Amino acid sequence: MTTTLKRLVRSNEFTILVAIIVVSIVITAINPVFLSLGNIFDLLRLLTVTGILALGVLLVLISGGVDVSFPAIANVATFAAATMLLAAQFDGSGIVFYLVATPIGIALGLLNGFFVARFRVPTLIVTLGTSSLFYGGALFFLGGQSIFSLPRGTVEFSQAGLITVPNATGPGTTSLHPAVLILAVLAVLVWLLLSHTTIGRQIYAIGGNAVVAERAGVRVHRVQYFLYATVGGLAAIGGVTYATLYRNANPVGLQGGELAIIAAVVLGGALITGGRGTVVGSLLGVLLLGIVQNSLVLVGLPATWQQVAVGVVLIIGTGVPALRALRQRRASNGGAAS
Amino acid sequence: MKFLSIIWPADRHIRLLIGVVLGVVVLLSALKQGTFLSSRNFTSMALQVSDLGILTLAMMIAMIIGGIDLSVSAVANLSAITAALAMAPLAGQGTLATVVGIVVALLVGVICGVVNGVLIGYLGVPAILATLATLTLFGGIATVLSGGVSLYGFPDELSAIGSAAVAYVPVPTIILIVAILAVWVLLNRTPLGTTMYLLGANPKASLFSGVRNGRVTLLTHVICSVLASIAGIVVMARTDAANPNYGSSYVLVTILIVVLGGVAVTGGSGRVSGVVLALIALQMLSTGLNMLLVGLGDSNFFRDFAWGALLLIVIASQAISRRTASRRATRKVTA
Repeated sequence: MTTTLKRLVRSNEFTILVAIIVVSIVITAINPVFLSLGNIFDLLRLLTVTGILALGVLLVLISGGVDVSFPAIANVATFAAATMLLAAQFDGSGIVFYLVATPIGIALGLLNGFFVARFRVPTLIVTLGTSSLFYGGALFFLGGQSIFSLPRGTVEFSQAGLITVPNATGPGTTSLHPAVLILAVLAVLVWLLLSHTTIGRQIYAIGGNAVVAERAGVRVHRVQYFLYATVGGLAAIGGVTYATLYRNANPVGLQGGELAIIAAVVLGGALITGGRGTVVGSLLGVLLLGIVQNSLVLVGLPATWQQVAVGVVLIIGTGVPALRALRQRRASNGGAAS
Repeated sequence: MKFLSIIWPADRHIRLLIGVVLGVVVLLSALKQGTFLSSRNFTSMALQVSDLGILTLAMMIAMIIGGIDLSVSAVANLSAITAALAMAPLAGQGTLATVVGIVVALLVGVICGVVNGVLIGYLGVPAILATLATLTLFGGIATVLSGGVSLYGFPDELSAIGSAAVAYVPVPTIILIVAILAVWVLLNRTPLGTTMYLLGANPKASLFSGVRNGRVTLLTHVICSVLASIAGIVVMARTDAANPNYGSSYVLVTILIVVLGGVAVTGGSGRVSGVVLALIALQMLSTGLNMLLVGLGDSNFFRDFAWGALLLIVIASQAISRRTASRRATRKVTA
């Protein structure tokens, strides 16, 4: 029992949970509105899409890669699906929007998988290329106008609420949006995939050491195709959710968000060199970064400071584990140069 | 022999790049008579290429040591904004203000480079992660300092750097040429350059041959960030504005040019001549696309599409040629 407890306290997830609690206490002390249900619901609504995208980022990081094309896939798959639905004059269930966009996302993800698996080039370079390709292609061939006439089902879903509470400040109400449940279901599925399936363990294996994994019988190519297809699918689901929440399909809406989401997952304990990372850690990382990003105004700092705050959190979040690893290496080498 | 190598370079990759440049020039001269082969077009291309080229050199040296620097454009913007703020109280003393501005910008570059270099070289944070964090931090500081808007109104002496020309060559282009020569000397004629290649090719081997990897990484990133600051000054002089968000899309383009120029994505090899040719080729292609696609939708979007496709084709062909080369080598050994 004590060893389990010790392991829990030493885990990365615990550290970040403590950080979240400390930050929350500080913010609440300055402005109690932070802990109101309305504010928490707003925060969850803002972080739903980030959370879904972070699940894909997590999978890629565990496999030892870095994917910067997922916002492009999310936007382009959603935008292409919305264009198709508009052309077909479809005005029914919002589920159809998901069903059309997800295969497009999977197909775009497979293109990443092809280049990564076939040519063994750094995934960052590949996905920089595909990202530019997807955005440029969508904007040039499909046009850059946002689509506001989404299916009726999607519009209805965007206005849905699980629980409605009055606002802490001012009139009006805030609702917990059911899209949070999509994130919850996907998080459980990714967790099951990673910890209870062979291919999930193989993703960890190729991230730990691809050569060793291959010698041990892992078919690295197949795992990579599966992985990037899954990430593409997740990106598309995130993209449609984004379009639903903001009630328009925008070809570049999520552009530029990739680095912050990768950073959140790294903050949650995933190694950028691969082989390590958990769903819980990633979601906590998203939450911590989201709180820092969105609560500056509550504590009275101007919004221009947002990026600085995130940058400081990132440098601490990446520098401290690196420093700890360095010390460990030094200690185990008996002081020899490392 | 040496003379021959100028006409027929031994490097297959460089021959290919020269072919691309010549092909584009011939094609566009034929299709767009008068507009492409005009001195005005070449001056404008030379101007456009100057800040991009300097940033590309910065990216190149970061990639040669096996890393990457995602923060180059953030460093350029932060330098420009700090310089703008330093110059503001010196209005009326143009020359002094310009000198102060340039010195401040370069100092900011050194500081940013030290931050990157310490994180990567001494703390062991992977370069992509460290520069991702500093990209956010430097960009954030630039936003705070400028209040999130562009800063305008610099001394005429500074703007003169952006608009003057020596023998029809714009000053920014001359700065680029000097930077190219400096990086060439650094990589080919100094001990630091040699250790940079060694570090990029095999960090363990360089460590065991007595290279202080941390120091080389630190110095590389300082030079890289100073180059980025110079690009920031050039942009400021050329556009008469300092913007916290300028050139965020440059990161992809600089990586594309560096890879296109034959620098191995895993580090350890690559020549300045290849990168310079790739830079010229890309600028020509860009201008060419703009000219050919007039009236066919937004050519900027098509350019993004084309650059992405080009990057993928280049890395695929590099991977294939690497594989055939290693297969040929094995065959030689076994035969």
